[in-house]
Amino acid sequence: MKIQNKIIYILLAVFFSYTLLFSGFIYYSISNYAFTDFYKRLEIRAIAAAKSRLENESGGNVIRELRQEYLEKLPDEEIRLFRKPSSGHWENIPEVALLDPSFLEDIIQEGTGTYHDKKTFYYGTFYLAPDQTPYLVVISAENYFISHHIQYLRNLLFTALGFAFVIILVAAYLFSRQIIQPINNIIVKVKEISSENLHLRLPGNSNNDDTISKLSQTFNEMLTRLETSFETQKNFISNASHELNTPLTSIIGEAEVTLSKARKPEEYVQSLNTILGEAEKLEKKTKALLMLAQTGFDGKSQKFSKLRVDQLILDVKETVEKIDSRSKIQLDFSLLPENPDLLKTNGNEPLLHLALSNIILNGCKYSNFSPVKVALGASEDRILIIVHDQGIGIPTQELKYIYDPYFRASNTLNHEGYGIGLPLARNIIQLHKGDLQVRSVEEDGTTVQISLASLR
Amino acid sequence: MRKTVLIPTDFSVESVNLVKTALNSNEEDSFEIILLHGLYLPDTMTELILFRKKETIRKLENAAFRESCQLLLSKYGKRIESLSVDLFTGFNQSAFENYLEANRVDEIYALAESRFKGPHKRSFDLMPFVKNASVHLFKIRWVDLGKDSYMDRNQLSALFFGHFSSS
Repeated sequence: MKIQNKIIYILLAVFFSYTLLFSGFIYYSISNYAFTDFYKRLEIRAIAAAKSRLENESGGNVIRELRQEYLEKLPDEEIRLFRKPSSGHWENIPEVALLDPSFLEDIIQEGTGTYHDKKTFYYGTFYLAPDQTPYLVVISAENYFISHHIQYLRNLLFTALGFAFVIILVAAYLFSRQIIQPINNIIVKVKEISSENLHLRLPGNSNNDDTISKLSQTFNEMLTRLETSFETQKNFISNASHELNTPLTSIIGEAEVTLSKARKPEEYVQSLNTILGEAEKLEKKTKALLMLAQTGFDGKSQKFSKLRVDQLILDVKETVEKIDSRSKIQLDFSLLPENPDLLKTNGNEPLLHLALSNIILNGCKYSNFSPVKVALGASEDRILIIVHDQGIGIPTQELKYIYDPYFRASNTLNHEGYGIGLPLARNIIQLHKGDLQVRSVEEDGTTVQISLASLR
Repeated sequence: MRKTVLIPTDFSVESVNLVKTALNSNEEDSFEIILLHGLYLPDTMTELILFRKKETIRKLENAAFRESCQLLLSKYGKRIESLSVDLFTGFNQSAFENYLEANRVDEIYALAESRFKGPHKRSFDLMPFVKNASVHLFKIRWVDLGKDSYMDRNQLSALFFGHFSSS
């Protein structure tokens, strides 16, 4: 069953049964009240009638007057008085015998009795005349309230129930749609995301605390993790194809040239030395690249632990210099805090290493290996890393696309690259609940500002 | 020794950088630092009644300015006795002198090439007053090793890569 229908049925059942119970209760108590009230009215009339007929002149007159003045005549009112027959058996009177036997029995047994058929209500009681003769008083009248008003009430309640049903149905439908709509939206959006466009995210109002936004936030976080591991591999491939080719080409070239004809031993030694040098460089690069790529492959990848950011930056500097020996990195630790605890953050070391080295490598690459400045500072709760290069920059109107995978700015044609590094770096920083900002002026340089939450 | 240093500010990170210079040029001293911003009092009666100094300062400060102050405090925490932001609302030189005397200002650090940019419509540059002040004045020249990029003067990076020399 669709969850929307389920919600509608549940709401309908609950509210409708409540309304039903409510109107049933009203109907029952009103009609109950109408019965007792009417019998009381009959009782007064019976007594008054008996008194007025059987009492002596003066008392009887007063009561007759009162009766005419204040007791309105009920519809079909009929009062009958029977003197007790000498045999002592009421049934001997033919008119009494016509009455309902259980009603009569009630009167004889308990002194009063009530009985009603469809419309007419009967009330019977004994009355002791002043001369000590018992009389049987039977009064009957039509209960106008029961015959007309209660029917009206019943109709009213049924109509109200019908209306209530419609209103509840509409309300339940709207309510369920209200509840279901955001989930449906999420489903539609999620369907759009596949491995081809993992960079898409669900639109989420981040400050909202309700379940739906939490759902999309959780989903977004999962996407970020997923995208990161995809990109880590792509990043390795792109780096490898780029960085490993150069030394390999020179090794092959050197070997081919040397082998093209017979040479003197010194020449062989020299060329072998060159090859060795290149191979050593290649090994270093491979090691560094593999270390960066490790995060994607060792099963226990995304574990967070305490780490010091200054140490991280020093490690990254080393890695970057290994991958490309032309890189120049100037560290600015002038604002290192007095308290080293401020530099501790909770993070995944390999991932942060990867992100930072990507940013710094980019800085080196796009500034043609002029010095890249890396600064570190810490405030009470944030750790700040600033990477500044004096490279080609990013055109202002293209700044908003720099986080799209495979996007490359229009002025990067002279530089090899695949447009993977920066989106990856940003995903990693987002995984650490940090913030990455890029500011750039074309032909002037780029500043990347990373802020991470410190441990405290 | 304890010194009170006044630094004119337009709430840019660049002006906070002067604090760094002041601290670096006197390694042993501890400092009481006043970042002073010139702001005329409002003209209308209601605005004047509702004028609150703290509130106004809070509105003028931006996130980068606040964060750069924090960075400095975590770096030089022991040597900075206090770092306060104040408003100067006077009109003439003698008011400024009075302010200096009242706060026992020992030194003023200011940018030689001031690129004052008032964050408020009633902000004004304090440099004319600073130039004629009687207090022993340290002038600081802004020398950036790289290209002088105006875009960054209000960003946190201005706290790191700007290099000053005292003249």
